Amino acid sequence: MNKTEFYAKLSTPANDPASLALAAIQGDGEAGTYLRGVYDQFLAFSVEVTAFSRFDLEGTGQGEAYFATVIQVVGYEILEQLLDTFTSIINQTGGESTLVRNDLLRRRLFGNERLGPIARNIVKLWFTGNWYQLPRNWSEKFGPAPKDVTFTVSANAYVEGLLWTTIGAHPAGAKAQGYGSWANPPRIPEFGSDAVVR
Amino acid sequence: MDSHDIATLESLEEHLFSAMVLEHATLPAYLTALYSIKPGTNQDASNILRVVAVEEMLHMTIAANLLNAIGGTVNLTQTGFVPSYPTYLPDSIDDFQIHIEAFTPSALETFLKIERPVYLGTVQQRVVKRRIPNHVWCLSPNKDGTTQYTTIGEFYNAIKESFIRLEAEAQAKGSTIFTGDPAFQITSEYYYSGGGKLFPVTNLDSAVQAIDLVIEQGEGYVDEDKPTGVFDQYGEIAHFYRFEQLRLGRYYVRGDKPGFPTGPAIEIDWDAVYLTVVDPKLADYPEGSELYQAALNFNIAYAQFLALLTEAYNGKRELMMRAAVPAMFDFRNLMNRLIRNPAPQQHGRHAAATFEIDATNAILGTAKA
Amino acid sequence: MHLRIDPTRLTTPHEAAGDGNYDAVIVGSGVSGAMIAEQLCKEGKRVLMLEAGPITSKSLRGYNDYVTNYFVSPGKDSQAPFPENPNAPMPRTPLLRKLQPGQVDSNTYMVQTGPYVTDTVYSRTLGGTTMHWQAKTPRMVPEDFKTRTLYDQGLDWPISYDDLEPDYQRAEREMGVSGDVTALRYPGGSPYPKDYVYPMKGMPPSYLDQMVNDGIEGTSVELDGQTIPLQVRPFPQARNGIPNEAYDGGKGYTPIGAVNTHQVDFGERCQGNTNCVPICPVQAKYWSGKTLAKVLRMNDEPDKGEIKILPQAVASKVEINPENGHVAGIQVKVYKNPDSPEHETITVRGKIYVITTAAIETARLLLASGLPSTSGLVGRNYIDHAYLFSWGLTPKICGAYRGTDCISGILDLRNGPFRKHQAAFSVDINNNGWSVATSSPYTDVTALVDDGNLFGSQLRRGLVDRVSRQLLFAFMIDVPANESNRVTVDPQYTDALGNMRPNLSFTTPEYSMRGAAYARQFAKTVFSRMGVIDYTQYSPSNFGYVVYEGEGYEIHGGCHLGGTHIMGTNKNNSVVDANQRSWDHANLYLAGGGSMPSIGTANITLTIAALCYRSTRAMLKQLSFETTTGATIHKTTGYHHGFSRHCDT
Ligand SMILES: Cc1cc2nc3c(=O)[nH]c(=O)nc-3n(C[C@H](O)[C@H](O)[C@H](O)COP(=O)(O)OP(=O)(O)OC[C@H]3O[C@@H](n4cnc5c(N)ncnc54)[C@H](O)[C@@H]3O)c2cc1C
Ligand code: SF4
Repeated sequence: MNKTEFYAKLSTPANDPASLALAAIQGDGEAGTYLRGVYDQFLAFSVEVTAFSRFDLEGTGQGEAYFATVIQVVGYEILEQLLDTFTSIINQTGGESTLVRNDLLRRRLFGNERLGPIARNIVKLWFTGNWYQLPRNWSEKFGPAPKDVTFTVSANAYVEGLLWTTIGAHPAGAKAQGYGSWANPPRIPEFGSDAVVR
Repeated sequence: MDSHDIATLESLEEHLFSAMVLEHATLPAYLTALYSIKPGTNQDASNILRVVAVEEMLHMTIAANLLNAIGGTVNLTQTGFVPSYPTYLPDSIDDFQIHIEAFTPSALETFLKIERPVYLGTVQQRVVKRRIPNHVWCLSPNKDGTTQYTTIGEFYNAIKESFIRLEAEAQAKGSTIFTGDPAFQITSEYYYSGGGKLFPVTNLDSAVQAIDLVIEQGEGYVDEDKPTGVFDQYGEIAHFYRFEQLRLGRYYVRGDKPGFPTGPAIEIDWDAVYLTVVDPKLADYPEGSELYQAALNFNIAYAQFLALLTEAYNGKRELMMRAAVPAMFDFRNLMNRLIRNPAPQQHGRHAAATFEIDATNAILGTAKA
Repeated sequence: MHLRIDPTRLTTPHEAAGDGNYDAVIVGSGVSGAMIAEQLCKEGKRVLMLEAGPITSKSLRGYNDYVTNYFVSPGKDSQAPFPENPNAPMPRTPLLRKLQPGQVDSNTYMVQTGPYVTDTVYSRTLGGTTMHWQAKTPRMVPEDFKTRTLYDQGLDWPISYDDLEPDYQRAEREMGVSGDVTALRYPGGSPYPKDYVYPMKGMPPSYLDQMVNDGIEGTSVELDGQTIPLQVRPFPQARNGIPNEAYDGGKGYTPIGAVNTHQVDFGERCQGNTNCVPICPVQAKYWSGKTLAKVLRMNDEPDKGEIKILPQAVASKVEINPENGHVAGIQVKVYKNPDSPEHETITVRGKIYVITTAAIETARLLLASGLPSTSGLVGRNYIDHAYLFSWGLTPKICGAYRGTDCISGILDLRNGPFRKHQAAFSVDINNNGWSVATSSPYTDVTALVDDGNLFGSQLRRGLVDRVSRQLLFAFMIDVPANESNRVTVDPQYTDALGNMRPNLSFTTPEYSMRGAAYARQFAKTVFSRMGVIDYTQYSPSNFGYVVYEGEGYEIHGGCHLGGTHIMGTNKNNSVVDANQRSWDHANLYLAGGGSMPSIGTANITLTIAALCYRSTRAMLKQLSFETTTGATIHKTTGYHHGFSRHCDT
């Protein structure tokens, strides 16, 4: 499956986006290698903007579903543009401090009129499992995106929201911590500190 | 007295410790199979695996209570407490091995073998003579280890009889074998796991009751005279039959004959499973990778958990609720995270926890002598 | 435990209508319906239970589907587990809006005729509102039963706390209450018998509870010349904890876990899923399915009675025999598919009739049947608690979003002489952060990402700072009965089956607003003692916004529905007697919160359940009297012989 086919299949409502994405990135030949590369970029970008490791992100089992969700709602082209921008920022700031990289990410990605709202939505996807409807002015300018409504990607996406891990809690209704565990202080996981950022 | 009876208190203590090893040894297999199921799918299989795993944990705690009741020592940090997988079960020499693997048809067959029912036969049928490979730690009624029990149920029956006989001998001399500190008994107040009440073992009656609970929940009895083989008198269904439902694709309901369930259908989606590396080792993961580190961290956490349990079983009961239970809920998350990560260079297989506890202790230099 | 609602326990419209031999027809499968059915079947009676909603939750799969519905709903409102069902709709909150004077809002199922708007909800499905309740089970205090006499507020009950006490104990056993009686013995609290313990030990207070207690223990507030010492106390609650071996004179207690069509062994102890509202995923929380499972088992026991359940059956009209005022039958609309209004109408009959559809629906059904009662009080005196929230950030991480939704609170202001002047309240310390007030933590994520422009580690730090420190006090404020707060019906507004929908007109009285104003002050006082940063904000555009003495407040509904068919001493001052039996219709019982003339500051369900025990004794007496004297009600009401059945679709 090459990227055009992948995209076309994603637009067919009957197909399950996550399994399609999985099939695409596990595909053989050039097309498979290519899509795998894009997915890798997607995860690298996600690591950067969530401060969770690739292991943690894959540990949610939601990577393919989010990848497919973004493509489904706003299209392949815009995601590639976002990821290319990200990669060029990384290449440009190789070896420099997080502070410098974050500045560039803000100026060129989060502050980009077209890409910023998508970048923020990817962050929110990872933390909540929800795709949030894009701001109206975005749709007016860059739309239309018929699938752009607020929705929860899946029950598991909700359960795997990184928000809960971040605060040492658990999603309401799942991953309970055990009778009486609530009497203890929360165990908030440590994460890579970027002391340079003030 | 037959040569394969458990003749001394010391031997009974050894047997009870082996029971803990045994109950625990199934956990890595059941839990890996359970968490390999993709979330939201295979609900029936998940429920069954979860209940069985949870009850194995309960059985291990019951074994600890039995051991503590006769003044034995519980130490789960001892080298060899967690076997190296694949492993034979003490009753399964020449027969089958337990693997740490995903939920697959062959894993299910193994589970059925682990839990195969007790055939209520004569004492002679209880044991078989076999040669035991050197590396296998095995349950044996005699010191030279040449005979083994045919099933786990037989093994527990032997323990039960030993309790009865040793206590009768002690009573005849005006003493008792129940000399343990009652404050070491873990009761429901300290640990709840579903599927059974934990009561203190302080005398023969409670000891026998505890052993019967383990046998009934585990393998169940097959008794021609008792048509209620599938369910016990409390309407509980033994592990063997729980798993058999998955093989037969249907739930048992009360009144069903073994092998002929008539309840609601069960469907299994064997594809909705993360296929994991079979019997994974840390060495299967690229050294220095996040995956390697996470697998190592899991083993460290698990080793600490066994140390914590040891403390809890040795008088600090409150640690059960305060620390051990939350840790168990934590392992679910840690194992899930590993299982959802593809393992590089493993032919598309996913990672899983390795449970190399002795090796981890060695790496950490904390291995107990 | 098995909850086997297999085909043999269900009945069909044809069978139900043709069966003239039911001792009782019970409408509703909530806690009231289930407990009454249990008591009747235990004594060998035959019961027909009508349930308006689907019986999805009978199987684990169905129950889990409800959980999944909630997970995939981005709004996560408290009715999200339960799919829309136009044939038996329920109130839903997301569509509510503020009313201008004189406006009526009929956008949602419950028509809001104002002036205030309430977001109170209840569920219409197997299990009723216990599917979705939080399961706090405090008892009322003795003074709550005589507020008119003592404080010149609301209405007195015809019975006292002491009359109800033994039934409180029965209800606590059936619902499986965890609680710590020693922490609940304080001046002004509910008196417990000496040596009484709850079936299960109290839930361990959350880390947050401990933090609040550290901030307030040893301090007090002055109110009306009285010094009230403050302390955090755990609520009794109907969720499984550690069984208390001292219960029942040393016999102990065995918790009931999840009920289902086949073996699932969980739910015998709460795990801290923090999702009690709207649905406990492991059924550690009591829901009426647990009692129904017991009743269904009785079908197999020779000396017990029998229950038949008719699902998707909406009681639509209570028919009266004009000669003696007795109920002659209940007209029921039975539908096959929630998505289609197609239905058939049948009439079912029994010796007695028990309506347990909760205060709003029970009043709706009676009024729609043209039965306002001699007193004219059906639908009047609607009561619900008024909720006010105050929220802020604790100085240190308090570990919000863990534990049960709420374990503890401040209970010392539930009672006192100040109740002459202002409403009493109970304070919940919520373990689920600000979610009930601000839709946190989702709104925190969007705020930090979209407005705060945070990503990466700054975002993670921001979330810890903003979410793990959330403290919210929910004040549950007493609202006395008042005839002008009422449920009515109006042929203009009907549902898909043509049943009239409930209309609600409602005002929070000044007395309660004085309590609310004091509650806000109280929150500020406690916050200042703890060093909490106050983030409370009431929006004038919120549907519950109320201005009182120049200050604005958001008042929310309490889902504690009372008062629409109050009990009293005679047919002129009340709808039912102290046994919840209708004054006007001798074979009709209206069981539920609607019978309560006051609700004090107790979440009402334990009291509702206690009343069920009282009422079933009266029902059994009535049924046995009818049999022994031969003058059966069945005969007197059976003027329709055979069954009437017509299809009107
Ligand atoms: C979010 C929330 C939290 C709550 N928390 C608490 C708490 O912590 N503590 C507490 O004490 N209480 C609490 N409550 C209130 C509690 O849930 C109710 O008081 C209780 O469940 C009422 O039980 P019931 O049996 O009287 O009525 P319901 O449970 O409402 O049952 C009524 C039944 O009748 C059925 N029905 C309705 N109309 C018809 C009809 N026309 N024909 C046939 N059947 C019909 C319904 O489908 C339903 O099954 C809470 C409620 C909510 C919504
Ligand atoms: S905290 Fe969780 S497990 Fe406990 S009752 Fe609430 S939802 Fe159920």
